[in-house]
Amino acid sequence: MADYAKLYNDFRAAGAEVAAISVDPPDRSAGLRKDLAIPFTLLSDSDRATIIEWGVLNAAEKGGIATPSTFLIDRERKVRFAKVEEMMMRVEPRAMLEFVKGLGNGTPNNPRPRGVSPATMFLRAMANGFRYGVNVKRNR
Amino acid sequence: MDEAHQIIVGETAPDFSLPDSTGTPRRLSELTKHSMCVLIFYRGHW
Repeated sequence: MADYAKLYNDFRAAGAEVAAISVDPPDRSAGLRKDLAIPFTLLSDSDRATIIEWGVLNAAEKGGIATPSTFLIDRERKVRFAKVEEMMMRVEPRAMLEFVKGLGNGTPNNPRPRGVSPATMFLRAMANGFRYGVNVKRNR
Repeated sequence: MDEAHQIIVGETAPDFSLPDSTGTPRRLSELTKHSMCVLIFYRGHW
């Protein structure tokens, strides 16, 4: 939001208006506008009707809020750009730890057992990591 | 994401009327009357 505030004049010069929507009530938006010196329009979708219609509701948080997303709408109201933030697809830290531990068996500090090739160690580590990840999902 | 349908490129954006920070109703069709409009959805304060 602060970045859009900084770039607002550039967007205007490039031929675009800027507007932002959240579930915040108007008085809250007025406060944010003042605090961040936001020059563009902040819109309040308190009943979430627009957020739902645009398919960007994050129902899991705070009774339902907007998923951060960006659209460009042209003068014929055609959508020219659409990007909705995706759910975090990050490897679980504990799964990563298991993977590191598996590789650790092949390092000089933790010599690998005789007769096991580095390739086998790597595959084993991969398998451990994968197995661990599968277990995490199953336990949820 | 609960909704199956997301607004995608090429579609006509559904119009809306939402109050701005002064409580004045604003329509998307007004915002796009004279120029394009970058429309941002944000998480909000609360």
